[in-house]
Amino acid sequence: MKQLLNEAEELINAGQCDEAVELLCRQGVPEDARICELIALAHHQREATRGDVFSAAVFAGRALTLGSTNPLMQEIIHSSKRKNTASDAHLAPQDYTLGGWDETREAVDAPLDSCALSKLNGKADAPKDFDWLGKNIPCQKACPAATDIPGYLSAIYEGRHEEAYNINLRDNIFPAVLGRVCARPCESECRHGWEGLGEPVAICFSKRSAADFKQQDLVTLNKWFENSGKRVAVVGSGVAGLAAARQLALLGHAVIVYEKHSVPGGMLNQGIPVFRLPRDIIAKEIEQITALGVEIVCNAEIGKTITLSELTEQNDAVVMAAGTLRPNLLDLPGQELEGIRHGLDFLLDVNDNGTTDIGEKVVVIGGGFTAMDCARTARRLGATTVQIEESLANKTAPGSILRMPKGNVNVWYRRSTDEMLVTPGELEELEHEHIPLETMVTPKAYIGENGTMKAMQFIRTELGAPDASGRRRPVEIEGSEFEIPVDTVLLATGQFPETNWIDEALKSELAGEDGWLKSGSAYATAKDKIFAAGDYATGASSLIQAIGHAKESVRAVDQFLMGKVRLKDSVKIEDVTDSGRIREMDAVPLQPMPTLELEQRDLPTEVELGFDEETSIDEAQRCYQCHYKYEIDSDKCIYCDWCVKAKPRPDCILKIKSLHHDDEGRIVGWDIAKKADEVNMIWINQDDCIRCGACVAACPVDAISIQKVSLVTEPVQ
Amino acid sequence: MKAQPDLMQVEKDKLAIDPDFDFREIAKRPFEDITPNELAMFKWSGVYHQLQPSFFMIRIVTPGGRMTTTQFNRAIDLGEKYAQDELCITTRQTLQYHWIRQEDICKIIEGMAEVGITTKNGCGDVPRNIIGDSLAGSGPDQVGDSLKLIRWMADDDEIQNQRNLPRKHKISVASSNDALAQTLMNCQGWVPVERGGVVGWKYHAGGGLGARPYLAKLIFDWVPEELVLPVTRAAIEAFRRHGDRRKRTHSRLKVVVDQMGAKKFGDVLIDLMKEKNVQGLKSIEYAKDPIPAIGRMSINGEAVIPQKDASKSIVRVLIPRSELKTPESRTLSKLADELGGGIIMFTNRQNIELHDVPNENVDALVAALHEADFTTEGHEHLPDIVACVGTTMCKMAVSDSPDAYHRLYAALATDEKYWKSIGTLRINITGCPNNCAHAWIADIGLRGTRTRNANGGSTEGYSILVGGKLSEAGRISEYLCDVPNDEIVPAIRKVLDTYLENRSSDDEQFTDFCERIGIEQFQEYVK
Repeated sequence: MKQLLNEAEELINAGQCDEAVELLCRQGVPEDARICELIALAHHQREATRGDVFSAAVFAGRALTLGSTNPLMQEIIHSSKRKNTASDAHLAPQDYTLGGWDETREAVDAPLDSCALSKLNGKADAPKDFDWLGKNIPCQKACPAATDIPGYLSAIYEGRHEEAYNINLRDNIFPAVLGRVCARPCESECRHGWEGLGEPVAICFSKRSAADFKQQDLVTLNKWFENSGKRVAVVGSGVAGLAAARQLALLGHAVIVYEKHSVPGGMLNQGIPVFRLPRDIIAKEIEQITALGVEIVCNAEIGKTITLSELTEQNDAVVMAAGTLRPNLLDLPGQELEGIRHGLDFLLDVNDNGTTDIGEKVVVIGGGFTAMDCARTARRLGATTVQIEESLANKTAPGSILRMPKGNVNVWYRRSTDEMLVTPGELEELEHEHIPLETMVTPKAYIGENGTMKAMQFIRTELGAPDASGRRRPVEIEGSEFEIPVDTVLLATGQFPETNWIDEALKSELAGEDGWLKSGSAYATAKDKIFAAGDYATGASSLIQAIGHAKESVRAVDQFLMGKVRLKDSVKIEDVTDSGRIREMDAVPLQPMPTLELEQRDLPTEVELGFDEETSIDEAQRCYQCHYKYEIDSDKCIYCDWCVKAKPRPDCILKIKSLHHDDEGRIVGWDIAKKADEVNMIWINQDDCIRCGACVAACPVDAISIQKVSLVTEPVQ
Repeated sequence: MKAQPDLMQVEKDKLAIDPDFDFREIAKRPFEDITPNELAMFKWSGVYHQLQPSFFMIRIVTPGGRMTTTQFNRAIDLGEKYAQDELCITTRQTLQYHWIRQEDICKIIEGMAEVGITTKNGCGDVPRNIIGDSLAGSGPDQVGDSLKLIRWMADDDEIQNQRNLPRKHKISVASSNDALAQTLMNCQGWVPVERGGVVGWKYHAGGGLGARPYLAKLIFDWVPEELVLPVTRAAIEAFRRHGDRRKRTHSRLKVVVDQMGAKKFGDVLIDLMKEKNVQGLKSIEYAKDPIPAIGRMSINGEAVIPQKDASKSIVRVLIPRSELKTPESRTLSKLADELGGGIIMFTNRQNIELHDVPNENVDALVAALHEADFTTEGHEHLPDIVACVGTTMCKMAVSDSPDAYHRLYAALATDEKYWKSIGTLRINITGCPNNCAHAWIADIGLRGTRTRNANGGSTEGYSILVGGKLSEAGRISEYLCDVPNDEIVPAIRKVLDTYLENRSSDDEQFTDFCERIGIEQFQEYVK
């Protein structure tokens, strides 16, 4: 007994109250004065849970009844009793300002600093509002075109593919195109892919399904403004030029796009292979732009038929969206040999002519989008030399990659796969199509015989410190050189903007010695009336990046033309009563994209088959719908903690002592309350919230509101 | 595939875990070997894990709230031995033990079983203790035999073995058309009707408090006595089939009945009985009007009430904060044996009545009670405050209701002149929205809350609700204001003084006053 008491006392002194009480109870019902004293002391010392004061008093009382003379027992009982300190009461009802899910909020300023947004309803535009969007809808934030991804995924889930398409059309101009070939920066940020939450939603494939299952008529958007009387010329009809043209048209300006090639589309037509992007898809989405009155003049190479200076004179503004067509060629010994081609030239040749001559030992150098396209295109071009088993011969297309020898095309890249800038899933397709990828190797020399390419020398690399792009720089490993036999080299090693076409009068003003625009990635250039959009300003990036840049550039053009800002972004806040989601949706697995069998994979046939309609809905339901904001009205809240008990994530609902704000009123941090009296509010940490609605279901006083929060861009009339 | 709603964890547990635990085995098991799911299913045997680790609460089942002294003595013995010398009376007319060790759960269960009292269905998603009114079996106005019906239901395997209901299920059987059995706040509520010497039963369904209160609707005007059990069974089956198992906050029968409406719910019951080939259904009369018409809200404070049997009386004892220490319990039990009829009745205001007291013993009994420091005055008046255990022992609670009880009692109940001037008044203090202490239907209900304070923290307090009742069609109390816990005494005094100053006459009861002036006027008065 004595030993037990000592042990319990030690546990109490060590702050292990529960363990002490458990030990003291193990001997039997607490009916010994000293045991009751110790149980009282254990609870008294902790005072962490709400019942501690009470249980300390109960066992102190029992101890005294059982003969304890410990003066602390009386003190514990005494201190457990609350006093009537107030002589008057101020009886005012709580002012329920935020309300719960079943209430309607006024479009008024938010009454508390702790509110997530600056207004309770309607439209808001304070820094904290945009900050909320950026933090809470990570996919939209990651999309350079700010596509309303939760908006269109919920439309797909509800079977409204038409509306989903229109949302995309409004935001990113080329839904059916991007639904196939977008770089998908959204998916790597998707909340569903955050640690412990599974895999990101297949946002891109869903975008395609919206295009696949809508009515197939042309869609033309309503213009924001009537004709402005302003004329704008756009140089280049790639995605940036066309995006700029579309936006300019919606703003009421007359637009002519000049394209030096025979068909518009830029990289869409000339770079991306047909098996990834069928041409009718491109044509249709371009048609939706010309339907708005945009004129596209092909075979019109600025600098030849008309100079940029003349163009600038004839128009109120010019947007240069000429892309990146100046190849980055490797300065290696033997570069004059036959058999070395830049990847873009190769793709253009194939896309224009349906084929091109290619050797039997093809090496693709590079680790980006172009490298993948070059490799998969080259894989489809080899001479048909493989015997197909008789049983398979019938169902194997004449140009199928199964008829080409494996290993005729290889990709060589100087860093690791982690540093590759490719579309998700593309590496798997590379492997699937039997295209070996060798990483951590960098080319050292082309080796020829009689002017023809015979071999390449590589050296192995290891990863060093990160470079300016944040990717780790490859460092050559001395003495690791080796040679491989090669007859064709496709260089997918990047490309730069071309400024040679700019006439001398303007060239020195606009372009630097290095051939790049002096204005860098800015929308306006050094010359009034001339603007830049897309890769031409930023350097080679992705389609969606170019579209996003072009959209912003147009805002600068419009402001220049009209002398005022005519488009306004705001944050739209709407009351909703239910998100429509059930928790089981979180467990739905990522839906795989069905693809063409290898037998059928040839140059013109699209590899990705698209979701069927049902699968598109299955996938769309996985979206957490991050545009919903769950917020507790801290006046209506009674601090019962039931939401805290129901929460699915460790930090989605917090007991907060205080919130930290920056100068702009944005919530930037918090202090957690350690004791009940310190809890100033029970607060939904929307960063960790997975929009499950468990808190709303658990709240007994309906103090939790659900609102839909979305970014809107509207004309300022 | 579109995601299909799966069973919630508690529903899976209900299917996977046998609720009839062998508590002798549990006694030997290390606590950490009991899964949280099993722990949750202990409730089906009336066993709750208490707020304080290492201790359990056990609730027994006393249909109709009636116990013999033999049974009560056993309860006292067990409380003395295992529950730190105390028993607690619940608002559903039964007893709870606190501070029970895991090793002793089986001793309580077995000990009570020996005197014919079970803990099965004490808690959990089951038909709970069937309640009635405290006057049942004895009261002067009783029609028929409500205790008989309660017994039928308590002994009916079909009812008692419905242990996978969507949520708890509460049944009340009244002994007269009064609100004393809280008919309108129960899932099912039976009220006797006499027609030409034949007793049949009015049937209400769909009441329930909790966080979102609903008052029952009248479903049938007349159910012959022989069909009471089939209807009760059918209603439980209807609940089992139609209750929402996805949202526990919306799963009770009250939501089913509210969504269906009285007529449709009646149809569902009739169809279910047809399924089971119950005969004589044509004699059931649908309610002409679903709005109930229940008689008086409460007894008028009498300490002694004559029984129907003119030779006997009921003597009523006020139990402070529902807590019975062993010596007091023994005294009560002894007096019930020596001067009463050996019957103890627990009331839904957490007090005790001694029934079947021969009239000639009444004075002696009352004197003996006073001698032993018991109070017999103040029932249904200010001193008769109902309170749950609040944050002292309950995991759900927000506020310390017993503390509010003690301070209000000390400040207001001692002024007899004051509380007598007020007349009947029911104050109920509940520590959380679950409303175990029935704040929604009290004259003044206090519901635990916390409110943000100027110091950047929060203060424990109460939302004051006023004007609730269960008489006539019933009325849910309305929100008056919030008050921090240290202002609770002046706040209630202010509310009461407002009533005293502004009531139309001494006869205008508090609820009627609330109804007449409206909540906004009341808020204006107390500002």
